[in-house]
Amino acid sequence: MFKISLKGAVIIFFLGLGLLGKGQSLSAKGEQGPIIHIGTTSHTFSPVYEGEELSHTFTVFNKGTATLNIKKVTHS
Amino acid sequence: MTRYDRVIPPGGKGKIELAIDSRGVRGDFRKRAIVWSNDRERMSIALYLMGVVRPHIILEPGNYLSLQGVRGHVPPGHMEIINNHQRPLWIKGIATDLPDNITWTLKEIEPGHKYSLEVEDISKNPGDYTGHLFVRTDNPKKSELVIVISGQISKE
Repeated sequence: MFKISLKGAVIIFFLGLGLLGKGQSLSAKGEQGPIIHIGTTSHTFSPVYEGEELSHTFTVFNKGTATLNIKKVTHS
Repeated sequence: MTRYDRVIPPGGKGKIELAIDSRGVRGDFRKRAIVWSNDRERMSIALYLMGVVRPHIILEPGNYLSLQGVRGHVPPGHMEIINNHQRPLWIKGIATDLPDNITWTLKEIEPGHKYSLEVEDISKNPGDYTGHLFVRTDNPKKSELVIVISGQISKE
């Protein structure tokens, strides 16, 4: 019959925990979500006179595997 | 004003348009906008807009003149009106809401580009006042300059 000591059981238990943890970690890395990427995050306008409207369009890329949602754009 | 694509599919791209009304901006500016998304690694990203806004017309030393002194001996206030464009600027007229307190003289220093404005107190009675000079110009983008005038006129 196969016999196992208490010490051995403890070692096997913790080894198992370690493998389980490793497995969970790999699984989390595999679940890729949306990845926002904005190539240039600043823009400098040419000098203008007061009253002129200035606007600039930034391009946003989603390099992830899930839909990227832009929730809001705030100003400060 | 801000416009942006709210949903961007995987592998796709979208736009974020930021606009600035430069009417209330003078000189160098730096504006920041924060983009909030469902990307867990980068939930917020800062975007910056920078530049310089020039006034059409410069008032030196500013758009405020103070007249202080004893009635009949109040030192006049001076101001320069400087055109910030290549195209000449012409002053079409000057009006005030303080006709009993002030008078003014406008002189051309550099025709079409620099003017000197002198404001004198003509109050018949001592006292304090605050009002305006309205300078009309031929610049359609800046057809009126408003100069604040304040006076503190004492008896002796």
